[in-house]
Amino acid sequence: MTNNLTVERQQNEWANSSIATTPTADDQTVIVADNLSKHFGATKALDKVNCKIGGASIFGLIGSNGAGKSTFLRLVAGVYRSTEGSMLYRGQVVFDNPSAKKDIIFVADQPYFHFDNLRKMSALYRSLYERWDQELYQELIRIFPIREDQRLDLLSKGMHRQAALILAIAARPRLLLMDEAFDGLDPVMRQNLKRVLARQVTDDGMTTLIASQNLRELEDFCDHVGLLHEGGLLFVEELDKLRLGLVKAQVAFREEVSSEKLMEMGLEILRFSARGSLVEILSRNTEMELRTILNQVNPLLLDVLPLTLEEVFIYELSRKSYVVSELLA
Amino acid sequence: MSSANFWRNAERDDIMALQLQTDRRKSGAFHRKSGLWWTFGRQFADLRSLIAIFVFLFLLVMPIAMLILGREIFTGLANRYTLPYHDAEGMSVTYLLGKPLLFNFAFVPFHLMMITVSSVAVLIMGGSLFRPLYHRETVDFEWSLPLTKSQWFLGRALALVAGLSVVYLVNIVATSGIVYAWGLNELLGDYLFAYLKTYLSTIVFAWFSLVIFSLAGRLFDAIILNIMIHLAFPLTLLIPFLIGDINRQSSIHKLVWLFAPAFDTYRGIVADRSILYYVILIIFWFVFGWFCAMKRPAEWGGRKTGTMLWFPFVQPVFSVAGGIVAGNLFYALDFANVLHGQTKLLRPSFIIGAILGAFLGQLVSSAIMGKSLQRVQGDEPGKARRHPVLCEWLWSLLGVAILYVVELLCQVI
Repeated sequence: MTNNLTVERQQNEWANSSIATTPTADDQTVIVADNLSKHFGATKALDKVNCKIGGASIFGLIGSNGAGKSTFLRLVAGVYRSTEGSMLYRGQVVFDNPSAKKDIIFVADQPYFHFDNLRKMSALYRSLYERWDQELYQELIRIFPIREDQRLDLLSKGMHRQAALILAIAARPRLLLMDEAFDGLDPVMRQNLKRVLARQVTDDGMTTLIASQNLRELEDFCDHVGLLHEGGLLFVEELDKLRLGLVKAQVAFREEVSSEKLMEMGLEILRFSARGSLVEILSRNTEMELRTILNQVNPLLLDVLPLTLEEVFIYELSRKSYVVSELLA
Repeated sequence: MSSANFWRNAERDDIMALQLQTDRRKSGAFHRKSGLWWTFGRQFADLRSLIAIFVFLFLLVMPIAMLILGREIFTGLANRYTLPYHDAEGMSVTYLLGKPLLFNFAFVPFHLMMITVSSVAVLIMGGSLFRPLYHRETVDFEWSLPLTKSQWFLGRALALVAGLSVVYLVNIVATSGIVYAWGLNELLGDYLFAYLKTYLSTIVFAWFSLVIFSLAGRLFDAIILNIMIHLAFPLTLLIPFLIGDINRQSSIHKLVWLFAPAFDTYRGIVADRSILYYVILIIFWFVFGWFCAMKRPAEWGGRKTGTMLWFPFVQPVFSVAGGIVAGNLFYALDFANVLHGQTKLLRPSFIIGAILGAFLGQLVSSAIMGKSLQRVQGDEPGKARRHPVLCEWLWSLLGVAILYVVELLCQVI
């Protein structure tokens, strides 16, 4: 998969709660938010957000309730008009612009169906989106088991979402926006959806922007993640780059070993938490370095554990003096 | 794990076997360019059931009712009300509420029922077409479609007009057929002219409703606000008329009908309005409705109409209506007024009634439109303590002021 997005933090912008992501090539930029603000009366849902998202990738947008995720997606989809600044899709303003909107599909947190079954809905989408793929649609209704003539208003929340995703993906948008994409889906369907999305990104060059409160949902298949908080984009980073150089281990020592001693031995400890004789260490080292250093103190147990996205975020954000519990749901 | 890695791993996974078809057949043949006519076609198709229902109701209150009445009774009725009903000079000799009637009186009961049904049709069909404006999920869906806002609104507005046109057309064809079959075709010419005016007046009401549909936050609010405005304006004429103030025909009083187009439709049966009047109103309300529609933000969907910024500017209408109604009722109940030669506007009974009515008008409109009363705590800052008086009740006082200005102007003009 082409990876066109690299992230460049604007260190001096942290206080202003805004950050810019810069693609390597401008012609690959899909979304540009330039000083984007959206106010609802006195409430600032988004405040001076700057970002660029480009290329065939999956971008995860996370944040707590009211952080501005849905507002951001609605601005990208052209549902809302920005109060200040601009939201551009491939250089075009999205709001009230059908030529930009025909490439974008927005799957809202509460999907709406104008007609009462998939057959009629697919006809509607077919007439609206010129890249609609009937074969893909047929394949998707086999993967997500919904009959074409099934009454959509009688379906469960999860089935509703599946129906909305079938229609959205079969329309082959160049930019797919999903608000709480996995909400209500069972584990098998979540896995199926992730595969279908990843395939569309890889084969069709689709850019996907997913908003979610759940870091764990996004960590195994997003290319980039951004954190919104109180209307500002606090953090945007490439996921692989985020994890690079961080390692977590669970260690049991024969005798008490302090974090200071381990740091003297060359471990760059970011977090050191002891529960009885068991110690959990998060450090900025390679796995090899960590094992070499810890083996010098002859531990009873040494397990290198997988790092979750949440832990990476907690570390990165605490580095920026944010109280993480307030930022994440 | 990146999406590419995820997919590569997924291929090895056997939980679900996806058949990759990278070179898919594209289905461009199905695609039709979306735009105004696409929206219109889709909305008109959605409206088919309602059109069928209103065609039936129109037929029920007019041609079917005429058939139930029977040829003999209808012809007798028509002859009773002077057939021909023009005198030798071609002037109408049948009058209704002091205005010359445009057509034979035999049509009047059927026509009035039809107008009532047509007003309901505008509200129901309009409500059905503009319903997506009032829920967040429908707004998300509709406004992310590849359409401009003007295509979205105009497509729906045209579907509403087309739906009404179909209903009116079917009805007049059926009615004309019956009248012609009964050998009363000489009645048709005048009636068709009045029918055209009624149709145009209904279109005026439809465009007027578009303004309200565009401004309201909820469908319930839109329909109730439309009804409230239609009740408020004519009440300002009717109540004073009922207590004996028959001089309510000034130019300012006539303006009231501009803001109550559904009631104005009833006036189409008398020779009071020209075709040009309706054409101008159609253009005016169309332009205003389109402007409001373009300015409407998506986030208004689902909001209580009473909490919107524009609502306080409409509230004086209800204060004026409440003030006029209560002022006149208080004045009528005060028998001491008979002894005074003083103008009504200066009588204490009228002043007290007008102020109470204005407050009541504001309270009722606030309650219906979801603008809740605010409890102001004593320890709040001074600005907040002044808030209800200066920012809220001021609108009622403004309503009373408007009432007096209008009444004084009416006496001068």
